[in-house]
Amino acid sequence: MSNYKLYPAINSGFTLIEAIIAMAILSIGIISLYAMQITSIQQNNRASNITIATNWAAEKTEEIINMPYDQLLDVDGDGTNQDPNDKGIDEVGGGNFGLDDVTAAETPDGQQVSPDGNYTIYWNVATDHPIPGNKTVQVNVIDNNQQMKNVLSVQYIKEEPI
Amino acid sequence: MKLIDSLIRESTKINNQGFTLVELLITLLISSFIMSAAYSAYVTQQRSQTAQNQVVEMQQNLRSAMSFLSSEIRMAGYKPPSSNEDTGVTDLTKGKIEFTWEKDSDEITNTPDMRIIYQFSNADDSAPVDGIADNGAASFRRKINGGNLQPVADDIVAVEFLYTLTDNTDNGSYDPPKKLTPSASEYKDITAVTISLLARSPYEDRNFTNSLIYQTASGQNWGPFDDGFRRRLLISTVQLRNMAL
Repeated sequence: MSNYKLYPAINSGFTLIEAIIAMAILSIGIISLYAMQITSIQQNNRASNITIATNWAAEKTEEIINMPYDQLLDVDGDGTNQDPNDKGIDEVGGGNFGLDDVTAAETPDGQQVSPDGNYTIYWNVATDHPIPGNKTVQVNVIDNNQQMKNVLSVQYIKEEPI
Repeated sequence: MKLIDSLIRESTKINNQGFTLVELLITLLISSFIMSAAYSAYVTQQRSQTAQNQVVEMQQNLRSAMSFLSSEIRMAGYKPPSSNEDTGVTDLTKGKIEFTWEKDSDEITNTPDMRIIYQFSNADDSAPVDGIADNGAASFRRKINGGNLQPVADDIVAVEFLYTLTDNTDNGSYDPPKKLTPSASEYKDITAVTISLLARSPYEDRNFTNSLIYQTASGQNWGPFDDGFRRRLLISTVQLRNMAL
């Protein structure tokens, strides 16, 4: 009979409060699973946007490949004579030869809105970069609905015809 | 000792009383809350997982089809300088493209080495060929050198080829004519093809209605379909840089 002393009050069970707290903790766990699903949907959507943006960038690049070398102009001048010692680094402007320009303040060398209005395609020209006699063209695509969250860039280097 | 013994007896007496019906009912009620929450979470997540699976499959299908098509159409008209064979585009409508290119200067065969056709099969898109699958969606197909039409991508709803011709009008601005069905005499003037591809998910989702209108490169509208299929449209232009060789 002395054994009973080792297990005092073992059958007291849970109170309602304890059960409710347990349920609350469980529900936090379940809600985090919903967050997982939402992230998955968002990322799928983003993947679709990246595909379309890549397509627009490829299309613009094709157009630039076919353009005459002389007509690829660095309109705002931030990609011309920025590298006096030919080291491939933009010492004068301190930027990236103006290749990353996507806002009106940064004055991209050209821009175009996709026919459905969802994407804006910018392009920038850096003359005599990376080496003299070449032009680097960078096409930047941004998603106007901000679903892609980043800028998609494609670079193309065009050589001067001899 | 006597006191402790009596206490133990007292407590064991309580322990053996079990649960009352009311206690059991309350437990059942609380656990049913938990179960129903867990079940509804499971159902919604299952649904969302199925839908996203379909979306991934569709996007993958569309992306691979577009990259395959554009990289091959880009070769249209290619031939080595030593070859005298006549390569280029040979049959163009808005739902079909046929083109040829030459791999080497082998002039033993007087025909180009590669003659490639992209279209829906005649059973999927009966005459007149408009590039829209008759039964909602079908496999888009490719044919090489007189073989059979082999599927390139499944679940393609519609396709449109829009052809850009050289700008011969001297009006000071670059406004090349674009045509869906150029005449055979205009084939040599074609500089670019704009491909519009519309894909859909393999299975219908009953909890979803697609009422979107998809506008192609030429401005023709596909839809609204008002069904449960998700769809994606991709438009891409291919410059036919090998045509003037």
